[in-house]
Amino acid sequence: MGFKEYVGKRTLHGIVTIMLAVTLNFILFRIMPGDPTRAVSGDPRVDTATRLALIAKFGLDRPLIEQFVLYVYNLLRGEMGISFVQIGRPVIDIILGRKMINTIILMGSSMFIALFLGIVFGVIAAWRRGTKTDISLIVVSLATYSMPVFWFGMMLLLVFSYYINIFPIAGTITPGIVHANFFEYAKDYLNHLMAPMITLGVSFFGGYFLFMRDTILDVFTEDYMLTARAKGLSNRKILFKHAMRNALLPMVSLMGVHVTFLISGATMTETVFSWDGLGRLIYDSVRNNDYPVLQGIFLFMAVLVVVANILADIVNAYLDPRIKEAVE
Amino acid sequence: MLKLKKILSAFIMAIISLSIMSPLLLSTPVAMATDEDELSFEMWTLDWDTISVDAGDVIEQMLRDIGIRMKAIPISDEVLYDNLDLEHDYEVYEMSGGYDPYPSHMTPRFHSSEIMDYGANDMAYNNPEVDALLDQANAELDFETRVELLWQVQDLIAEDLPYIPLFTSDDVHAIRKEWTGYVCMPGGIFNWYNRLTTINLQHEDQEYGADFIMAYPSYIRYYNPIMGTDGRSALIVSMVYDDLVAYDADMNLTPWLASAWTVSEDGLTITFTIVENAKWHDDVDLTAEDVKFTIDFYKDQDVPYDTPLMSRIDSVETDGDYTVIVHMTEPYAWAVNDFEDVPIMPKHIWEGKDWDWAVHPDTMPIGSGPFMWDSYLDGEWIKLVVNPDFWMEGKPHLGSFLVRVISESSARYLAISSGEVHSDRYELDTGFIDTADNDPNLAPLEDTWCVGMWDYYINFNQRTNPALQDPVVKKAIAHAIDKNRLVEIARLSYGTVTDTYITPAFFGPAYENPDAITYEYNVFLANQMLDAAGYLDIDADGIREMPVAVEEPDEETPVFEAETIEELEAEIASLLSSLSDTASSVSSLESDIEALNSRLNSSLNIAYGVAIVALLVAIIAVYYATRS
Repeated sequence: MGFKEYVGKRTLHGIVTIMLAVTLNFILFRIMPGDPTRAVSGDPRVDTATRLALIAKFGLDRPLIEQFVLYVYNLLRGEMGISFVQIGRPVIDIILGRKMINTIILMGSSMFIALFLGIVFGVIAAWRRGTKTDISLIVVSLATYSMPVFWFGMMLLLVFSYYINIFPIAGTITPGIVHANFFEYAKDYLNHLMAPMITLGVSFFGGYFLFMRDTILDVFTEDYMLTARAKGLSNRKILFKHAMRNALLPMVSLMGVHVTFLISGATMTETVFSWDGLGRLIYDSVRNNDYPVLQGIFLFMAVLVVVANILADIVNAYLDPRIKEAVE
Repeated sequence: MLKLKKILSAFIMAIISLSIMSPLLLSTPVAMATDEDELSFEMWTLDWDTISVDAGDVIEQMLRDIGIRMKAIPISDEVLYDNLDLEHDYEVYEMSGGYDPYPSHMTPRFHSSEIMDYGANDMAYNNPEVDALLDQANAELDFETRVELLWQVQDLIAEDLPYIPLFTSDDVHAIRKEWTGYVCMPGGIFNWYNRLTTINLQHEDQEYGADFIMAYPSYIRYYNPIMGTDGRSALIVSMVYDDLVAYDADMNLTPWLASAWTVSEDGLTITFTIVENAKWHDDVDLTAEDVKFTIDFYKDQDVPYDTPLMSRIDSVETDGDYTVIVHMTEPYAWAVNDFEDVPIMPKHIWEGKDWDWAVHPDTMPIGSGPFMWDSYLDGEWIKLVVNPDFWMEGKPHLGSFLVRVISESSARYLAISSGEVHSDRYELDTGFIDTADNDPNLAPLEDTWCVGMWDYYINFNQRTNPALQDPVVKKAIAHAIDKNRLVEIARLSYGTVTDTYITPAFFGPAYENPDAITYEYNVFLANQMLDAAGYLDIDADGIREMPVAVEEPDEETPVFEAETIEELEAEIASLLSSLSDTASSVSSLESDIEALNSRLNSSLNIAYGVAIVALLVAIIAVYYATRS
């Protein structure tokens, strides 16, 4: 089997998976309890006549199979419907807009920081295994790893936005003002980004740190490490050239899986800091039974997971000679 | 080896699924068996609403005193509303309904025409007398007579008790102390029909031009004024658009865009005089044509909002630039009240548009109200600025009104306390009341305390349990609930006890009926009523049983052949002993059932235990299988 065939097969699998996801995505919201007309009106006191009219308007009184055919047909045309809650706004506009950018910036920056610190401290802890540095780092990382992220976020909010007023309390930008230029805007945005970024960075750090430390410790037992030592290389060279580079391979695979976090966002953190991203959109949509938006986000995430996995497999197969050999 | 592994894992999977399924299959019939002939009900409360949940728990405790088990079960709103809308087989629920500024809730809640899927008469209350009286009241133009008709309706309902009104959760607002001028109105200082607050609000050091910031829990839903009926959009709509009439602090109608109105004696013609200096935000004059256009727009497009009013309007005509004459098809008592909910829309913008036109905020929703749309960031904030040409002299006082989304309730409170925002769209959650009471930055809670629009009640489904169709049971329940205590616990005393179906505290003292049928807190009386009606606790488990069906006396009258008192006494004694035999056999049957139940429960537990162990074994097996 050639490399091209392998790619073709993985792509085919991916398409089947996405079709399954579409079907499940449709069924999930139909079997869930809850009445979307309450979502549409947003008010329990709405007239019966009004509610009946809205049900008919959204085609919710049609047979399920008809709704499904319509759904698939519209998806193929690139239509995801309009939001129940923000009437008239296409779901695609809501998802692929400012909210997505906000989420990518927040998740990207906090994951980058956590990853960087995780790798550095992971290497240090592995090198000094068993010392006080190692143990205290493990204690700190376990503590941050198991800490509820919303609690930590609220503590940050209380201390840094209320008692010491250095971070704004909510939002991505100061409301109601016009920024003089792009740098002013970026400064304001960064100021708002700090608190949620720290929160998420701290909560991600523990996982990456422990993972890195363990893989490095694994690498230490490999024969080539002994060889490197026998060659008389310096500790620094052994650690960063031989151990770390090999230990980074599984780390990269892990990152591939975590790419989906970039989009799904961190619902808790975004809600605590009122960060207007996709995570909070999910939260709001669940609370308001906004099925079209939820369907859209879930489909989007499913596609992203499938594509990211295929890409990761292909890249791995390409990069790692051992996998490549097995494929061929 | 590989095959063996596969067979092994399939086998384990089968065991797991079987052991998980079996208890599920068994469990359903068990719960139903014992409750059937006891006064034992499931009362649903709304799980996210702490007031509903807390009040439910207290009610459950209170009803134990009269031998009724009212099991309070917090349930998610999806499940609850689905049941009210489509399945209709709940037993009891306790949550809030919500008032409009006039008692418009009476017809939907009690009229039998609303017994339908998605109807508002959840409990399927059907009383032809009530239907007739409600129809009569809706057509009665004289206010006094109408109120008397509504008193009669309430007395009939109070005898049948399809629901028991409990209390309103009152509106106490966190607002920073430097702001003045807000008007307390039933429903709260900020509400869409409270147009007085937004035009009178001012900073204590700055009579005009201060910038007010309000926290919203989430972004508004609609820019379209017709559809913006949810609490968040409606406040913005009420500031950008004008209605013909408004309410004052005592919930009386007051002139707004219509400086005066007259209703003809037969109720078929309503004449509105429009203020002459009103302008749209884009400097076009507002005339009677716009008002006529709005009403025609609703009628021509069959807009599904405000249907009780619009379906009764026959035609509209204008007389000059500032007089609108509305012709009705039949007299409608609440016509002018309903106009409070109809935003007057500019003809030059809405002509040719559909009613569900998604007004894009970039084109700026154009209204005639005290505030104009300025700028926004979708999902985060909206800025309204003052309309300098507003037709009311010297109003509004603010310079701008900024709405800012802060999702989390503690963050909202912190923001108000630190001054980053000035108030919240909604009332304080019960959990923050104590903190807010001691916060020196906020206005005293007494100043912002208004009767709330959310009326809590216990609603009995008239379809399911026969005991809930018996007024005696419901009356006993009404007597056994200490509403003051409910308010103390569920809303820390910031609530108003409601005894009638049209609460005078909310709708105004004119609705107060001194002779209304009410049920005061009296556990002794409640117990007596249940005893007299034959609901007795036969098996002494603390819960009353349904009365045993009394056989028709003329068919099975015990024939007493006794001639003397002594013989009669003997007869009675033998009857009594046979009765006690029956009672003891009933109680032994009960205990049998109890024993069976507990055995079943323990076998369920064992099944679950087996399932967990099987799961563990499977995990270990898979682990060892893959290790090689």
